[in-house]
Amino acid sequence: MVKSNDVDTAEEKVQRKNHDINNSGRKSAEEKTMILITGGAFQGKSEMAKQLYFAQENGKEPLILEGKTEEMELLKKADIILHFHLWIRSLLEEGKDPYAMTEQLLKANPRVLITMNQMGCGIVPMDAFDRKYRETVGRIGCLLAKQAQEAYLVNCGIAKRLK
Amino acid sequence: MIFFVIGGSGSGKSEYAENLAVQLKEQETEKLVYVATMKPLDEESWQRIGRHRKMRAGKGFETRECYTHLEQLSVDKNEIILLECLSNLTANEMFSENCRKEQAAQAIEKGILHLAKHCRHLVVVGNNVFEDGMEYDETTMEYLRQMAGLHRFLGKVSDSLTEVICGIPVEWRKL
Repeated sequence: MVKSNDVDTAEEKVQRKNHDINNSGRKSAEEKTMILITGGAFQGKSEMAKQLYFAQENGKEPLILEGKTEEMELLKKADIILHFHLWIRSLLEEGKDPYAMTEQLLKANPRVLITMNQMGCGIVPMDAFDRKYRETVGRIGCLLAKQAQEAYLVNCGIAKRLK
Repeated sequence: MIFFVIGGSGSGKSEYAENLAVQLKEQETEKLVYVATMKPLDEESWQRIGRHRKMRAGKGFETRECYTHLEQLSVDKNEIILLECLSNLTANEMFSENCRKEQAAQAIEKGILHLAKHCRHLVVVGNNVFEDGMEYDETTMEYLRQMAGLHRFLGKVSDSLTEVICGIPVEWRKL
């Protein structure tokens, strides 16, 4: 056990982080699979995405894209898509069908790693668009988790494997 | 050791954290100290503080006020410190007089390490306010970012991390 007056060194923290990832039930030598990482805002999902990617693909530099701005054709080639909820938002804003688009994306890119915010734990928004956006993100999250071989919840920089 | 307890509003995180601190006390010589961070601004907050103080007194806590400058709080190696909560402390360090504004999270990190180094055990309570999907004004977003930075910091330095949901503890890091 750690003594109360000992503050961990950086190396101990890294060791512990690796320990946490290994303890999450993940085999590091596993084949590349689709992964969903979800969690609250600013909890360290992007960082965890990179760590999980490197655990899977040793040495290969990932193509990381932001859901906010990228085009479908680019997203089909991505290794990691961050802030997937923002992609859903822009699709809704453009009047497109995010369900069909998500299916299309996953068909073309079935091994992608996606991060997406948990955003359903608040008051129902007054604005109709915000309500639709929030619910669509929740439901597409369910679709992604269903398709994913691995799903993680990140909180305070720590990942908990859900699937 | 550092224990981080998080939860939503009304989740039972405070009660869990109080009981945890009480359980951590192993010897008579050890003292339970509650670090209060809520600035009493009106009659209602005075009443709330009074009620909480009474509740904790029954559990043997001494109350020590600290609104900003946590790194200067005097602590003793025999003390088990319950720090509640990060959301108040962050707001105080960002928005009150003599505060550290954009360096708020950094200052609080320093304060937490100071407490952890000099006390017996430290229990920190945090508020899980990151899952409502809301886009707030820039000041509020900055407040959330600073607080989330502290949560990730505690995710690294804590020996135990528990999320309380409906009064049920869910372990993120087991001791």
